[in-house]
Amino acid sequence: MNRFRLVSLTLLLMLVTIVSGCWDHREVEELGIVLLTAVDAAPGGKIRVVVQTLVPTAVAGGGGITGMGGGGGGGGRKRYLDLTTEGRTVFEAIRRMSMESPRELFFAHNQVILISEKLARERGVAEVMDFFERNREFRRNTWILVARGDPRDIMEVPVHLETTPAQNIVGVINNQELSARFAPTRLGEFTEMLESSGEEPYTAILEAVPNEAFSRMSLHPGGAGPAPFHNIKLTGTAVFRRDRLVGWLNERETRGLLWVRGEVRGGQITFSLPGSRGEQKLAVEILRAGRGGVKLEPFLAGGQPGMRVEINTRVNLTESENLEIDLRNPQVISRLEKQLAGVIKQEVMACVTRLQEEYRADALGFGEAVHRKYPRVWRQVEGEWEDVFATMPVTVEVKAVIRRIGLINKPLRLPPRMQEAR
Amino acid sequence: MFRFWKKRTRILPREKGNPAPSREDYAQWERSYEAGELKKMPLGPRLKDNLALIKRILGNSSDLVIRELRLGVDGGVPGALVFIDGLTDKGTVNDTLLKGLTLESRMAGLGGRDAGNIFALVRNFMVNTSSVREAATVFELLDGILYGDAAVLVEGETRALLATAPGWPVRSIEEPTSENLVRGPREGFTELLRTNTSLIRRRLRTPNLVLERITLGERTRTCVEVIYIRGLAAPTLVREVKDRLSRIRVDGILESGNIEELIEDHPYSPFPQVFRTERPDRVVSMLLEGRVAIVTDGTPFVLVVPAEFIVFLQSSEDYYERFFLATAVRWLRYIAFVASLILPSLYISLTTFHQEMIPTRLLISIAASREGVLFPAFVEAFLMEFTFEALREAGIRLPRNVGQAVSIVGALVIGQAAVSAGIVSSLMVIIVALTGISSFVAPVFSMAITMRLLRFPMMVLAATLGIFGVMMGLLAILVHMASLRSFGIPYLAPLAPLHTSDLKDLLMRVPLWAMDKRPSELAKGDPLRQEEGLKPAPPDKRGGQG
Repeated sequence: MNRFRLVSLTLLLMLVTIVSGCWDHREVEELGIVLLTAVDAAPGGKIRVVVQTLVPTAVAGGGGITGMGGGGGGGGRKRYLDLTTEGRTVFEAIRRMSMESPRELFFAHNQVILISEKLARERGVAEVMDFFERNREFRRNTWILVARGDPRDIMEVPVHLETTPAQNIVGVINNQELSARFAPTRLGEFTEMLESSGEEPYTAILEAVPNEAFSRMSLHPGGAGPAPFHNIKLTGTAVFRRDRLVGWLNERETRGLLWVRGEVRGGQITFSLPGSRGEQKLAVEILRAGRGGVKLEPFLAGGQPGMRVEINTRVNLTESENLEIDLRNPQVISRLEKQLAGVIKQEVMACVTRLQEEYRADALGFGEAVHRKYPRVWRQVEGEWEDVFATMPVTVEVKAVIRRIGLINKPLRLPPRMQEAR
Repeated sequence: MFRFWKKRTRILPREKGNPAPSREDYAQWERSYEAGELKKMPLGPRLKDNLALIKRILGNSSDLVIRELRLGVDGGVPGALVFIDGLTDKGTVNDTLLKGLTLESRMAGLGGRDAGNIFALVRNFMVNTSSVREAATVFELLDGILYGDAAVLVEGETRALLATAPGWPVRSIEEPTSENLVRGPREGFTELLRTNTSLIRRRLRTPNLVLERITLGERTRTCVEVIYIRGLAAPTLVREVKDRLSRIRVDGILESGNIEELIEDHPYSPFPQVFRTERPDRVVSMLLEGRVAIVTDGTPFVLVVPAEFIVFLQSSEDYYERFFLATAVRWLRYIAFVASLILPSLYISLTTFHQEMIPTRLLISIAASREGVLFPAFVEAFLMEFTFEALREAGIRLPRNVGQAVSIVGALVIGQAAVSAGIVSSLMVIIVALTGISSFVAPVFSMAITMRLLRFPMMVLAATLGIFGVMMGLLAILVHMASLRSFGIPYLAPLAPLHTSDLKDLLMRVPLWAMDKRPSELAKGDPLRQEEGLKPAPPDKRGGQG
């Protein structure tokens, strides 16, 4: 090929890239960045989708182009915008939203999917899930939460620390380790649990609660105080059977669920020694579940499966109301440990009882454990696992070790005179 | 139709009475003398004829000095001293030559003898300069005069003597401006060939250092010297260098860059394949690796071949500092080098096509900063990069006192004003500034230019094809670099082909006591640079070395 041909061919190829006009070209300012999506049931069998998009100009505030004249009149503008439409399917609703939104919705940064309680109970979650799994833009690590109440109300709860409610929610989820009282799940895990016959899906509950800390004093004497506002709160667990919501687990039962799942990474437990003056509590801080945390050992009792749960944990003692206790004494420590183990066992049993008796939903993954160890048995009981699970014998053994007791050994010692007066 | 209009228009209409020169006019110009013709022209025996010939050939130039004198006693033999004022050192002419020719020839009682002997006597006893040669043809005579020699002509002699006495004004030795170091010698080459070679000689006192002279350029007659260490530099390499130099037949060689363009392996490649530097210590260290240096008269930039990619990213300071610092700085340089190439492209491709790859908080911040900006990311980037390059070029040419102010004005005011006006976003300004700073990190300017230029096609690729485009661009560059050779050495040595023993100088700068071998591709004749096992230690820890 001679020089002329070579050069002209190269130039033509280069021209092709430019002339084709870079499709898929999306400038950042054309995006409607969606941070939070909520799905609700609407009348007529329809689905309502609520979407929360970011308003970048409100975020820009001072440091930007519109520094001089921007900022809006008095105070910042709202940094997010909620849009909602109804449709027969999720996709239809989203596309209908384009008729109201100046920007094409961009879901790749969506962080939370909220499912309303109503939709979860009445219609079930599985049909709605298909869209989120199939669509290219939703990530598998999006959090899924169940909203108690109307999702629109929760999404409009004002945000003070973070930029948007979505970040607020994610921030709280990230703090889950500190309390271990709610069990959020990601989209990927949720769908896995949905499809599995050996475990039922669960996720945390999101609700709006009034902020008790605001001041009730009004600015004018005798007048009405300022209106109370709400905060969001993540609490408890929503339990599903197959794809429908069947009930809640409260905070204590949720802790039990997390113990069995081995997902307790922190939290605190309050308990007291028997024989002490009743009200005096001790508090411990749970450390990352030590040494593997949890062992689920299925056993067969008369051809039927049963489960033995073994939990190992390490804690730090953080607070003692009991001022007479001598923490230098190892026997005292082992008494505490035994008591603690008992408390944890109660938490777990509370959860197991609730799930077995009231909801008949195996959110604990017992089915999967049986499947792993006794596949033949599993094949027989798989069909009626709900019933088998409800009557399974479950034993729990807990071993708790108190690692550290903080900076001081014995608690405060009041001078003797004062003690007698008490 | 084209011809219809062409007949009726006249491009560059000429004025009457001032026509452009036509072919015939050229013939009336004073003729020029070609080298070939002069080489065949002998000198005549008569002094007057010779002097008239010299004057005519040199066009009666006003700086030509002809000092007629008489050699010897009793009226003496007519002679003349011919030189060019400004090229020849007048001090030598006055003290040494004239004195020798006039006074001492009288004292020796020259005269009355026949011409042949006189010439030998003059040559051996009277011309007291350190080097002297004979010129038999007009070409040699004029060549010598134009090089600064003083010519001695004697009546009746068809040969002339050329006494070497060059003396023209030169710059003193200063720190090279283009390669500053914190630690290291501050001598730089100057425009005088001999000074430059002396700077090299001073550092390499081995008798195996060879200097071979070549004259290039028909009209400039530039002296070029090829320097290498015999026994280290591969003979094939030296031969190839000399061969390529001998093929150069041009009018003039003004700068070593001219030579570089005429001897490189891949003239169309954007990457430089010939290394150039102003620092003698750099040249010496490269000679010690088995390379060949080409010193050109008239420029302080010395070429060194072969040059693979990595030498353009190394600085001599790396070897004078301790290896921790040197390794860290080297890594910084590599990262900055890559950044200067792909940073704007990455920004464009990520914000235009792949917003899902950006972390959410950053995306929010980018979206906020780009609100109100008129142009798409590519146009913004292009505009800012272009402005930056223009400012940089302008800054080179401005006089020093104005230059500082303009760069500050340019950077701050224009950048800030552009952001406020909504032409660019503030993030773009940061990226352009980072890219600009990174591009200054390459120690050798020729490589920095390459990166600056390659940035623009990468940006176009990023804007049309996203990250695919960036990847394809990088691959294309890599493949191209892998196919380059510089005088036989693969451009990407020691990475491709892989010489693990050479990697010790690539990824980090291994302490000097560990650098035992020379680079494998170069010095096959003498691979060991230093003795092994030279790691220093205090006396009690030395163990077996006593």
